[in-house]
Amino acid sequence: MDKKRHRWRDEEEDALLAERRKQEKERKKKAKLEKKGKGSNSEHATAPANSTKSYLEEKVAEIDLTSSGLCRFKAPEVRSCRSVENYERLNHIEEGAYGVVFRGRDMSTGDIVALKKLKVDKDQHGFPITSLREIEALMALDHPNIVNLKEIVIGGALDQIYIVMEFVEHDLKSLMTEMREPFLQSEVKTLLYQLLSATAHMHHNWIIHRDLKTSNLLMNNKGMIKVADFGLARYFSDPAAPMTPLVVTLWYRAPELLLGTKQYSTEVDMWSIGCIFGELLTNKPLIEGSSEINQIMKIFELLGYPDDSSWPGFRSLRNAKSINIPKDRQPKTSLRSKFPYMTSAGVDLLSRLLQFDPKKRITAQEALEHSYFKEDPKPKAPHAFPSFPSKANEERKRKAPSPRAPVAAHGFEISDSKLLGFTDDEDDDKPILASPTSGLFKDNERLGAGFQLRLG
Amino acid sequence: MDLHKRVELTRLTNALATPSQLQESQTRGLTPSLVSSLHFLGGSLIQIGGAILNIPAPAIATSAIIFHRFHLLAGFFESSIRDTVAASLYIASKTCEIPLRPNAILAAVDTACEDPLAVGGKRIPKRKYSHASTEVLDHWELRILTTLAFDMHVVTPYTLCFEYLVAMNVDNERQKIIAQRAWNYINDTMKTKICILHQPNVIAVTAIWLAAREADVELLDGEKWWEAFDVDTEDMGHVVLLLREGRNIAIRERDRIVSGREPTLTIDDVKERVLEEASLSSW
Repeated sequence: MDKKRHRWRDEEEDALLAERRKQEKERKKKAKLEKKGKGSNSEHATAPANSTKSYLEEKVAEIDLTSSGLCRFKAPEVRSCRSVENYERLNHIEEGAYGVVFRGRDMSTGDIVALKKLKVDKDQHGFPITSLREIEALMALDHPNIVNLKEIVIGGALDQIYIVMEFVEHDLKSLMTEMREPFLQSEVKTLLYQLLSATAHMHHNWIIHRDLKTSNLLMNNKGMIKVADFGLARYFSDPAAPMTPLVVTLWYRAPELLLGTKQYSTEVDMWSIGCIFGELLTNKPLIEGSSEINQIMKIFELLGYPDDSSWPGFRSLRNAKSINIPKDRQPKTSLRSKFPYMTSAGVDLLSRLLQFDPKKRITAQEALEHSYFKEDPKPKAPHAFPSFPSKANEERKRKAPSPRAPVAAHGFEISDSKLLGFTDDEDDDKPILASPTSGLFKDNERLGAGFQLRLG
Repeated sequence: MDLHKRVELTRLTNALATPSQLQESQTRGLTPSLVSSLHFLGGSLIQIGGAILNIPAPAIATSAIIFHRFHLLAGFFESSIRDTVAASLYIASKTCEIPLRPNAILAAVDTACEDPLAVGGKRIPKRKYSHASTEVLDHWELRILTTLAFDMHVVTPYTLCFEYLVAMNVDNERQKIIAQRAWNYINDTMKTKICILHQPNVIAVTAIWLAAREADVELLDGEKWWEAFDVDTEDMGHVVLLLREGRNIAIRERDRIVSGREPTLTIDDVKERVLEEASLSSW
């Protein structure tokens, strides 16, 4: 009797379970049909040539559907790089420390993109770890204020590697050097808010940027900021693993890095954001040191000297001993007098970003909720931003003077001769195993002379 | 918020082989069993090389997954596995933030190739220098990166395995017994194609299941605990099957080496093996 009842109960449960699964299946089928409708539409609009892939994807989806009611992680498939010949080269945008950037057009979709040719320096340890980190970080991050990596494509030779990213018209640094007046308060708020929300997203995904500065912030003509250049970005862990303190461009480098700590975390990005905030307000870098010692002294001039209560334990950091802090000096900040026209909420946010003690520094998520963004003047809607003529779109950009990120300990250093003037890889020896060059971006094509301007 | 969730889920998953990719990798003149043997040899070399280099198991597993993914797409006629084994270790050392000198990797792989299945039992003197060139290493590093579209995101089952044991409230003593055995099973999956066919949660669950069975420990009073981790018995069965196949391959390759034949480490070796198997099957 007992046994029988037990069995009966199981069956009841089974029936319930089966019913639930059936419902789930139907729901999934419906969702899939919707998705399929959408998918095939965009498929046709974007990549008509790629029909085999969508077939495969459907196949995979089919398998998901027929299995039980358990959660299936939709797996991406293992795949290879496409060729750079899928893009038409338009013009040369700039040459940064990590490679040359071109403007190009996706020939199947017509999208305008930026193609960044990576420098593969064979004298160093193979493919640069900085580029690997950048690619991994950008692949992991999907946010409207972080530059979108579309794919990596390859040229004819093995070492011709291009990162394809969305094309963004300006970088904030060059834009600001050409502006007569600094941004309005309402504009500063919008820009800062976007930067904070991108940073919150990175930190949420365990990535530290480690080189936030105005020249790494791109801006499009719709008032949208895009964080770029993840060459120094890294995954972090909790508790923090030791990392090199030689990160972040000097003017934006947090005091704990200047004092040589190896155990740091997301707070270094927040300090940089504080410096960017100040720069947006005055159109001038906030703390322009000429050396590490000079930088830290200028920080103290601006914010007063730290003491054991404002920053417990700072004296035990590696470089702290080499700094003389006068005993009678009171910790005093001059932020208020430096920004006389800012509201007290604004000064409060800035001082929280520029806290000496990393533990007391505001986080990106907290900063997004700060009252500064709620009081008048309200943040300006991005689309109401004035648009600016884009240098990248039409002519070669004059690089605004901006210090470089430190290059030591990150895999490779670029010799001065390579930074001076433009030489494509033409003069370099080819690796012995590389095949002869071919394709759209021929190495023997001199930049600037050969390209054609195509507008629209 | 939705956006964040999506990213978090992708951080738990690996790119997997598609059915057609699997089929193709077996039709390039290679029999399925030979393909499995070559995957096994590569995985074994990576484990020995990784042990010589003294890098943690997740980093070894990361190189193994990179190795298997590459050969899934590129086959075995373009590159010697000793080259791609070295390059996979090289890439994983970078993505796992364990800086290794190229020469150290080449020397470790050289040592591993002396006895790729560790059958000898005798200690092979560790080499300090390698005659292989770092240019070849750089070449295969780039080939692997471009062949895999630079997607080096790899999740290994090790942490999941521990998290699942903790989630099931397994007491310390039994946890130790199970974890050690499960760890070994996970190591075994890295010598087979399991890691490009199944997600890490499936591998972690199967390893725990096998370990618990072996140690005669019943988890959660016989409940279907694997369903809590989104794994069904069908997938677990497949993993067990592939593990058994891996064990058979290990025996077969070991026998070959013990009987005095050279391990299949270069392209020429592979070609020879193809001829050898063809003549065997015509018998």
